[in-house]
Amino acid sequence: MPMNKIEVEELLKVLEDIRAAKYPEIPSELIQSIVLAEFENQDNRTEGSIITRRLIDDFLRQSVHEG
Amino acid sequence: MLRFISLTVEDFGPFKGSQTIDFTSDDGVTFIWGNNGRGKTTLLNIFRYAIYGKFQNRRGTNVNLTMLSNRESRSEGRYGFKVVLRMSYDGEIYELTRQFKLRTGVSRPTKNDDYEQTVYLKKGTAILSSEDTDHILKIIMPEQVARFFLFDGELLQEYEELLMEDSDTGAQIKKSIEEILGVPVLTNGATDTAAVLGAYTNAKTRTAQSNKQTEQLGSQIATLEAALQGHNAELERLREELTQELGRKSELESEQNQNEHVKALLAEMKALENSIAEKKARREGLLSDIKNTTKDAWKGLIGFRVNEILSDVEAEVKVLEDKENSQKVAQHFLKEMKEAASRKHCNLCDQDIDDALILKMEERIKVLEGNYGGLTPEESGKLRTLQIRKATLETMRYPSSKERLEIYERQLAAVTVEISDDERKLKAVKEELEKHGDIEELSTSMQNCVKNLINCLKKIDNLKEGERQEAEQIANIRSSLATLNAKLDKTATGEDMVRARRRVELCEMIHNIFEEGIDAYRNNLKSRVEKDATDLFVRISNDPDYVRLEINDNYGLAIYHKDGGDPVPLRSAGFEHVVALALIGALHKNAPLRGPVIMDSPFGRLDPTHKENIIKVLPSLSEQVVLLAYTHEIDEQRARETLGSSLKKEYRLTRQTSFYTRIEPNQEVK
Repeated sequence: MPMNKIEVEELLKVLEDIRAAKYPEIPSELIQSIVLAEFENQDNRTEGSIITRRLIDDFLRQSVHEG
Repeated sequence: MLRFISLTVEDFGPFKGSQTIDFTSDDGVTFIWGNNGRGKTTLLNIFRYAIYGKFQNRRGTNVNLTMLSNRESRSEGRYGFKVVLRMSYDGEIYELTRQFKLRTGVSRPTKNDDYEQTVYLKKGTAILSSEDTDHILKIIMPEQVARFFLFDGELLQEYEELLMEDSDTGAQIKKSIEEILGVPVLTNGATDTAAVLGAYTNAKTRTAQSNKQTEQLGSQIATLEAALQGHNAELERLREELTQELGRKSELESEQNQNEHVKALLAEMKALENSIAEKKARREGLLSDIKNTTKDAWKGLIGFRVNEILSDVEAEVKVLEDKENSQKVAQHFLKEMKEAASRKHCNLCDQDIDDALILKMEERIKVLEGNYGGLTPEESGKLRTLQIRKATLETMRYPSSKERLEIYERQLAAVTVEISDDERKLKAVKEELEKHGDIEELSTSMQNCVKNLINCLKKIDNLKEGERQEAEQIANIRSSLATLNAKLDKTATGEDMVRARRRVELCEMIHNIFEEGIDAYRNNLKSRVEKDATDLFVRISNDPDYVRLEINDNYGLAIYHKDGGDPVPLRSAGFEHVVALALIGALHKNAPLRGPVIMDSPFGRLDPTHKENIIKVLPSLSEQVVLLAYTHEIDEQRARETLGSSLKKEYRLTRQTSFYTRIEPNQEVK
């Protein structure tokens, strides 16, 4: 299914404002990816949650290095 | 956005054979005109069936598939029906086909199982798998938001519930509104990031438990987290069950309404049948009276001639009888005169008569005997004959039955018309009942419906109470966990704990972005929906002093007067209608999900000004608007002028027979 970022533009804008103001450590791309995964999988909650988990795991692996 | 390219319907409802509506690829409005009974609502339901595979206003699984197919097609041996919807979405062309056809070996269906359904979706030229078909259909037009795309004007009234606190219908509509506006993307994001946060928090707890320094604290946290997880799962389950029950309640209420409607139809059918039977009996009585009256009517017909002859006979009889009577009187008088002359004494005046007078009397007697000779034997015979004839003719005199017959005929004509009227009404009622399937099963179905609704309401109350208790428990556990985690963060110093804590911190941030985003997005949406709805409302409203709408937490819209103060109380049904349309237009403007709006008879409660204003704003509701309206619901020519170039196509549903409607391009379109 092709992604249509325009359709969730307003939604992303709201999240981006919060992220930029209060949580700048979190990359905007991560939030955008989670939103698109959730948008495309509204009919398949399991798939949406698996992708979200994977995206956050990847981010944490890159951000918090093992000693 | 989603756009309909064409709809082909085959042997469905009143649409016999294969018929197609082509929509334009340009932004604008399509009108489909049709009088009552021609299939406008069926057409709306056909769109719904095409997209969701469901039939509206039917009693769940009891839908009689045979009754959905075209009646004339059935009589020609074609059972089943088919719908093909061509659409474009995100630059791709899709063709969705749904068809019910007879199973192999079945030639005449008697039950739904005699049919099999075929569903397939083509993307370009490739046929998609059933999983992909389901996925795409759910994405392009989720069923939860169908009310905003395919709507019946008659149902706009229920949007009023959004202004009421604790209204289940309002809650359902609010859920649909948030659905179309994309709020679930955020709530699902918040739920999923919370789950990830939970997993990393558990990992941190496990790390704490493996460390001697924080072992005890870690165990306490682990216990609470396990309890929290359990309560969260229970809360989620209760919420899901509640959503299902609320949906079930709506269905049961709708079924209940449907049943009430059917009950009223059945009562009407019974009353009409009784009325027809009574009138038919009356008609039989009248026919019998007419027959009896007509039996002697010939007497009335010859009455005039009999009267003429009788009159002549009576005249002749009178002459002869008079003569006979005169002779009798004269005889008596002569006898008295003769006696007086012979006795020379009058008994009448008791006086003696002198001889001179006696002579005169005797002369007079001679003259009189000549004058009053009485009837001749011929005349006596004739008098007897005439008297017999007169008696016979008198028995043949019969009063005319013309007037009586006229009264009977008038009564017969009136009762015949009444019977025809009642039979026509009965036919319409039976046709309406036929749409509701098997009437025999209805009584049981009604009882079950009431029972199920009562159980459903009880269950909803229990679920709401359970939800409240779980939420309370969760809040308490979270508070305890926050205290323990703060203590753990102060105590733990190892590398593992630092990393675990950092992961949790970052997860919390991600989760907070979604959690805070929900309220921010909702507030943002509300102000945009409020602004756009106000804009549409002001353009539609016929009252220039109603200047704005204000949105509440449920997306209910209150009307405000230019003088300010409290919202306008007790809004008319017409204004409810206008507010609902303004809300739907605003939702479409702000929804991530965009698509065609198909509305059936949206003008029912509105005055001409409102109607015209709605026509004006139709192109603002969505890029593609299809309006189903009955002729004269709005002024067709005026609507064309108002829309101008925004009116792209017009179709007319034209009657061929009672059970056959043709969809024809309207020749009057410019």
